[in-house]
Amino acid sequence: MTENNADIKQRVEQTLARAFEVSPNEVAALGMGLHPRWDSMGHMDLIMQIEKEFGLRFPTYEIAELTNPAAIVKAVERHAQK
Amino acid sequence: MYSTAELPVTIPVDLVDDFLAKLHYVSESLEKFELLPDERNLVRFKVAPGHQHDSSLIAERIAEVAKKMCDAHRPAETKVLVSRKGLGQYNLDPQPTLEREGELRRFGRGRYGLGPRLVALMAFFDRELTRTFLSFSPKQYQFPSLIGADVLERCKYLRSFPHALTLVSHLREDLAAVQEFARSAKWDGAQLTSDPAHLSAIECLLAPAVCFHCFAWLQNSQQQEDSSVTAIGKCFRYESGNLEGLERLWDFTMRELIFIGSPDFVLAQRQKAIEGTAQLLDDWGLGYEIRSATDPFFIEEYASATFQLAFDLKFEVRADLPYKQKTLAVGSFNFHQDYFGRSLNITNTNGEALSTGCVGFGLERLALAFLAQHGLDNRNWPAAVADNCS
Repeated sequence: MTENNADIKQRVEQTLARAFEVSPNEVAALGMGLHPRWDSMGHMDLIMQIEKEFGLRFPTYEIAELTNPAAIVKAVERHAQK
Repeated sequence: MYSTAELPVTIPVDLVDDFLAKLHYVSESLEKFELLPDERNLVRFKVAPGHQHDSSLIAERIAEVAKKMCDAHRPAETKVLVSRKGLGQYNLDPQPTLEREGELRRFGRGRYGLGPRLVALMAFFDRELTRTFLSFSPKQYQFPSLIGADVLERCKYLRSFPHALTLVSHLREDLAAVQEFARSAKWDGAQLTSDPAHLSAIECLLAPAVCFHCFAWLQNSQQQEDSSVTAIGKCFRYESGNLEGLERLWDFTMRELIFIGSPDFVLAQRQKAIEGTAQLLDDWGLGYEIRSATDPFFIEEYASATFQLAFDLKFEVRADLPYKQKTLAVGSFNFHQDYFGRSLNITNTNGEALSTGCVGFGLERLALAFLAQHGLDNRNWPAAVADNCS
């Protein structure tokens, strides 16, 4: 993993921790449907917070894939490479 | 005199209709509005006489609506599951003729009485839909028009669709209030005038959909197996300036087929319903598409529309209206994931929230689309309808 990717991972995890008010060591266990607030509205709130954090905009088709921290990190990395 | 609202964003082409539909809720003083068609970053609007002082506030609110909707909006490719060219040759609006012939009577905004021919056509469509739904072995239910505010609050409907609610009140149990109302209430030509202090708090609303009743019935329960339910009911969605003839009624009739169970079960049933009803629509010679769609969420929750598109949660049957060269949603196929299962605590025997889905057809809209495509003379109707609808 490059330093840049490590930074992305950390910032995604911080955003997730803020969004769902959990501690950083609880982030890995988060997932859509696994946390009471990660429902449809929680998902879209999270997407918009990630977009704001990284200054990007996910296309609609990609939003359905972003259902866990690892998938979000990968998607942000893809966008960062563009 | 017209005023203008400069928008902080340019409205994307595919958001224009939804954006304009929301502007009806900006202010009671707002009489007319239009989005500059090319630039799409400026709204010209006119306020009611005597309310010119509201213009700057209205401009601010229009800009707020634009900003919030654009922030939540993502462009998406429309997914078309079925596309059919209809057999009809008609291209006039059937509603003026129906009114002239005493088959349709407007009582007020979004409120229409229907005569024998329309009723027969709607009854035929409902019979055929119900017959098609038999292959799902649904249990038949009947629900009231009223629905508890508690149910809509638990389902977050109050938050997602506040603009569409129809709240129900009655007079407070207070002898003086009842007597005073009886003495003073008057129709002033536009509304009933009475002292709002005499009205009760809101306990119920008029139901916006049939399936909420079903989910309310099942709340806090454990279901042993996957199941299907069907019911017909009156539904109520206030749509302000968007109300328009039979196309958009405040008060309409919906036949629903509802699924409760595992995600795989609900999705398989939805797919089966899409195929079954497409066959039915083909028999009726209708021109239509079944394609991805969203619900009309209010601006604060508009991101939910993007969520629906991203997860393929909603598909609509959009029937051709040749007289408008537009289409009209006459039915929909919805997958709610475990939203209602979680909101209303409907679980399987392992305590996991169940998924739900529903198929709904608006019978007045179906009748309108059919008549708009085939005309009122039943000699020009497909045999499947003409032979069975008297």
